[in-house]
Amino acid sequence: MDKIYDIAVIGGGPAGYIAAIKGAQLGASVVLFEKDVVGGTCLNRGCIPTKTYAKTAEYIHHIKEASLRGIVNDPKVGIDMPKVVQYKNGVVKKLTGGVAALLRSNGVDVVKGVAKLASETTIECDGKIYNAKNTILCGGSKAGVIPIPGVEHKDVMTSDGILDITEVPARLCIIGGGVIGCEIANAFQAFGSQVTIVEMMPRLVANMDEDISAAIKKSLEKAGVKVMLGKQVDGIQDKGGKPVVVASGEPIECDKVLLSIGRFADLECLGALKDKFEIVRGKVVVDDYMRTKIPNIYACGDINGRIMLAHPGSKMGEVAAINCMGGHEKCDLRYVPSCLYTIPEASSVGLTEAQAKEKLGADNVIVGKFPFSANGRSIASGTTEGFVKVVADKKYGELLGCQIVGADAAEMIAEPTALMQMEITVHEVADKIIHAHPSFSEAFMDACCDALGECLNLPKKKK
Amino acid sequence: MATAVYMPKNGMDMQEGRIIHWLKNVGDHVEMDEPIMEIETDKITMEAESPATGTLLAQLYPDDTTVPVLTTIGWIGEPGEKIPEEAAPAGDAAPAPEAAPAPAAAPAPAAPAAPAQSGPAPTAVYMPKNGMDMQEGRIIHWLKEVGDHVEMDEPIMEIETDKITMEAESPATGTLLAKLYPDDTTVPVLTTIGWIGEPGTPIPDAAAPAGSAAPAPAAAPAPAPAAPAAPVVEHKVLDNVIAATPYARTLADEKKIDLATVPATGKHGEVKGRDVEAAAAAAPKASPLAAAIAADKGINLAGVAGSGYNGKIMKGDVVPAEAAPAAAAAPAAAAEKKIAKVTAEIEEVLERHKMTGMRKVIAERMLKSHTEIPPVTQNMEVDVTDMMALRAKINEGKDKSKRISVNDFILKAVAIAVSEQERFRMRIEGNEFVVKPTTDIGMAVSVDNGLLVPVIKNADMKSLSRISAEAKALAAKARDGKLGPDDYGCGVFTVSNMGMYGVHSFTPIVNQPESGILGACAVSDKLALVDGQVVVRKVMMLSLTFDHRIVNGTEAAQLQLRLKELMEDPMSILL
Amino acid sequence: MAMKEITYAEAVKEAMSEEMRRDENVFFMGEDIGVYCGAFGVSKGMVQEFGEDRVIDTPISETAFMGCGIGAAITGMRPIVELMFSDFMAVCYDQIINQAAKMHFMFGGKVNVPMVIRTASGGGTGAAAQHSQSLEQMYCHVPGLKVVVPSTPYDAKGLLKSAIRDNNTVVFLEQKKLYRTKGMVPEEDYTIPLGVADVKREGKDVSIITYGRMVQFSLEVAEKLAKEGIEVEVLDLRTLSPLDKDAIIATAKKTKRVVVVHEAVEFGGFGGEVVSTIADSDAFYYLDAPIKRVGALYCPIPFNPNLEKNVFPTPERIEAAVRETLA
Repeated sequence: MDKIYDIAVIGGGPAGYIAAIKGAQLGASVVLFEKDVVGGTCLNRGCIPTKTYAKTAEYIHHIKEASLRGIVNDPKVGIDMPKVVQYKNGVVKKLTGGVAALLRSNGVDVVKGVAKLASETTIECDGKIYNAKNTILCGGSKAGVIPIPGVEHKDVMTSDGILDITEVPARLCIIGGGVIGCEIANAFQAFGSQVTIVEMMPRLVANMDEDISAAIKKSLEKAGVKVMLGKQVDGIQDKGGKPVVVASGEPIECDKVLLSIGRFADLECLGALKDKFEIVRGKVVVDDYMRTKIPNIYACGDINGRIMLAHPGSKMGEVAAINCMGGHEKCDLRYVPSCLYTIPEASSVGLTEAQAKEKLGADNVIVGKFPFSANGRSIASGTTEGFVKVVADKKYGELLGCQIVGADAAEMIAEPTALMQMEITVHEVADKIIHAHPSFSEAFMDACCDALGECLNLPKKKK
Repeated sequence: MATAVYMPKNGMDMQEGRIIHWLKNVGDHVEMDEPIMEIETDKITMEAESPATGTLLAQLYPDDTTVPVLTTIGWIGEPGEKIPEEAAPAGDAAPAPEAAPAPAAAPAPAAPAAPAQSGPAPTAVYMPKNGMDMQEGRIIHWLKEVGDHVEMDEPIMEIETDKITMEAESPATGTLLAKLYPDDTTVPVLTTIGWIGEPGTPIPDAAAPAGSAAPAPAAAPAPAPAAPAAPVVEHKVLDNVIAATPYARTLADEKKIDLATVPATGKHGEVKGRDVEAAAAAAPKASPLAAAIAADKGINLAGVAGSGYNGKIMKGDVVPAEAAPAAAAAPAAAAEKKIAKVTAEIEEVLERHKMTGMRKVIAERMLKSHTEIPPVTQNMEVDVTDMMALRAKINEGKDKSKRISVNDFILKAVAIAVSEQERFRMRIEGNEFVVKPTTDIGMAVSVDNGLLVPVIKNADMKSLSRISAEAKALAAKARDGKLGPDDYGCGVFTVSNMGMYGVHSFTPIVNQPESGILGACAVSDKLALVDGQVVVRKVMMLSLTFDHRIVNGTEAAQLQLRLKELMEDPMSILL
Repeated sequence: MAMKEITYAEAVKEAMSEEMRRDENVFFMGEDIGVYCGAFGVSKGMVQEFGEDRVIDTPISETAFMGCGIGAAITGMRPIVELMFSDFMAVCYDQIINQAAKMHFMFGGKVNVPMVIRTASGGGTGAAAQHSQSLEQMYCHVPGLKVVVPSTPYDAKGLLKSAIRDNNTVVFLEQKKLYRTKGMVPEEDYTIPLGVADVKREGKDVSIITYGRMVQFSLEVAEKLAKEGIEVEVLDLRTLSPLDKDAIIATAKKTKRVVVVHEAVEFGGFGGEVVSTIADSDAFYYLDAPIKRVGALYCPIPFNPNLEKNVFPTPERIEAAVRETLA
């Protein structure tokens, strides 16, 4: 083709499609290459499907508890798994269709195929060559597979596979107790599986705050999940056609195994220039402007591995597009919230308590915690599990981090994220910002007050 | 044709004069050589005379304005005569550097705002870098006002560095054209904080970077007040109060704006509400966190470039950027921790005692006395041989608690002498000398952690034995911390006896608001000639420090002579 | 609500008539108020309706008929006593100041003096020095008297009815120059409480606090300045004693600039009380300009119409004062 695009985007996931639309908004001519379906992992095999399952699990939870509230119903719940999958597919289709429509409406040329860099200004896709002044690589990531003996067993799958199975496995063993592992455990335990989680670290979701790990473990176990911590998987054996996961010597018999040990950047799109990039631990290195070592080539999203979540990926894509078009913006990723869609939900932004104390010294950090068991809406809703924890600097009250476990935690985290970005301190929250009552959100305000030692909704603390 | 009234040049050095106040009003008739205003030159206050007979047509500057010499400040002529537009330059002599006053009833000129006039470029005044490590300094306060004349090397402000408080000197001779930062501001070293030059010279816009020297090291607060903040504004001021409407004051309070930084547009020179509103609107926006940090660190936000949305000032604009991301920072963080630990250990070795209570008060009062009073100390030697002999005789056979001390004699002698000289019973209040009718004498008593001066009332009327008893009682009370509020702070004169420590002369500090203090020193043997014979006499030095505003040298000498007289004829002390 | 247009004089008459119909203890006396219909035509038709026992022509003896009114009041009647010109209060000063105002207190509360002293006040009619004064200040200074100065027919009628129903002695100063002015009043019975000021025009830049004839001038000035974007608030005090201090302080705080205007002589005039009210309140902290007063010049009211006009405040003088506060 002779056309020279202003921007070529490889990969149509959250990073890629956002980059393409932003570029178009700024007046660029954009071509987007997608080897599968726009929306990427997030829409097709990740966030959206799992959140759909999470909601289904929540329904089941409510139905089982409905009689406590005086509702007369049959608490025995059945699962029509093919329908569950079909419903999920409908959701996904709606969203991917939406993304496609957005791209169309913005005049982005979408090319289906596997695209790779041929040179600094050309991309090859299915034999055709495309020219672009700037390229934004959004190749994303793939579910990781660890090379343990037996991993190729037919009943071992990654998150890609588990979201399509049409039978609820009687026993599901999940290797890896991170975010994905916990969310799948939560869903499938509700669907009726007996789930076992095998985690190498001493706690679940080890990258989150310790209190969150503890709370999630408790709630998963309460739901019936078996949690095994600090266990290495030696291998996967077979017993009568069914897999047996051996964890630090202990055999776990099951029907299906989910491997959720992490995701790795997909570098396929680097193509001919693979060796020219700086790659550290399998991820493409970029600066704060999303630039790679190669001029006019950017990398956004999971491929640069800075924060492997959809929303920062999107922000990175936006920034890259702006910079392609002459801008000079840094991508500020200091305050990216992360969420865990279990029952109850969990979320966090900023530093954990431990990280803050390590960084500033324990004497310079104040911590406030408010349990939902003291929150009016939670009690009314019967969702009293969990807390809001606020970590701040003692001198100025700067919000350093917030962790939430509880109903709607994923929604609530937006408030501390916004305040931190705007450098609004705990003092302003405690003194000025009125929160609706009754709401879960007011627990955030109470936690801020608690950090200052002046929470009005907690009993007086003995010194 | 109207006659111009000039600010007279009274002496070669005089650069400018201050109209203290006009003695005549516009419309008044004046005679030639009749005093028409009181002015203050660099040396004295004097009356300036009218250059002509006629009607005072205009006062171009109001009371309490400072103008360069030979500036036209008024016009005299026939009633109704038109006043010339341009102020005619004063004859030959030094050209008046015009601050271009408007004819007839002009407002006070704002020194730094002067137009056009070129001349040599002004000299920048920097926050000095006093030592390799110094990153920033605090202007405690300016010693000069805008418009003041300064000499090279003359102290122009007091600053606080990381180690000490010191005076910073002027880098040039000239007029202080502008103060870019007010009192009590902290700025990085080598920041331009003021300008000195010819009156009327315009001030450069950008702060010129400080010569060569070390560039601001990385750890210094990043951009911070590198750009000059609002220049100091002229105001109508009375007794340190800036004229402003009540509303302007209320608003300034509410918005935490310093009235001193708000230009005034009121027709009487007052700050109006609209002026404060304008200042508030122009105030830089900052995130709550950045504002808190800036307030804490004394950073002037007006000079900070904001990196946030719409120029909002964010934390990163007022503090140094944080260390590199966690992964890379591990070794740096570890090193920092180690340094912090070592520093903490070193710090522990230095003992720190907070300055509180009596020590603090003593420190403050001593400094105040020393700086406020023009002290003079006169030393006079007194022959106390007879006094010591009399004392020995009186004390023969007496119980220790009833013995008279040397100090008791001195107290009584001082009481007699002071009661005779009214000046020593005076103190200064405002413009007046206030005389105390009673002769209350204080005696300095050393106590744990400090010094107290209990007072013996009506000491001139009490017998020596009564004084002795009271002195003992008061000293005991002082040491036990049991002095009542009436027991101290009410004397006219104090006696401080350092004799027991072997001190032979010293310069005691006046115990304000008293007139003076007598330091009594050690008794020592001295050879003297009496009737042709060499004998050993006992002598004592009396060091009298007095407040030269109240008492002068002769009067002080008279007091000492009287003391000498009394002490050398000790029987007279008993009378 | 149905409204009708009447004159200030008619408003006064209606108020008196309605109260006399309502309460047989109310009666009315004054000079030439009967068949002559009153010096300003106010009481036209009243003697015909109520008879000579209740609408009583008096001799030209202010002390006598004022005393008579007081006597009637303390024995249970509710007299309305008219002083033809407010200047004549000087003749019966003792009756008003030393008797009417004091009796309730000196008799230990056993006696009330529910009397209304109606009188025609102010100038602008060429009636010269002894018939044009505004002496309301003098009444305000005496504890025991209430003082009302209405500026419109609506205010006059509502306030007079309240005054008649009030158990205290109320001095009701009508503005003689305003008798012929017209205004809308409700058809139905209504009263206006004493002691409540009225914002005749809202504004945010400057407050003119005024009463009586000057309300109209102030509104004219406000109208003119509105064209320049200056919004003047006009506060009509209506009752001087008891004074609506809250309204005064509120308007001062709102606009931060105040001009006090009255027809009475500026020196020693009621304006001083208003200014002092503001100065001794927290409105002080919000003032952005010194408070101005505009009143009549310190001289007896001239006979010559030009001189008379310029002795009183004029819209030009009021406007200049307003502009000064904005400078």
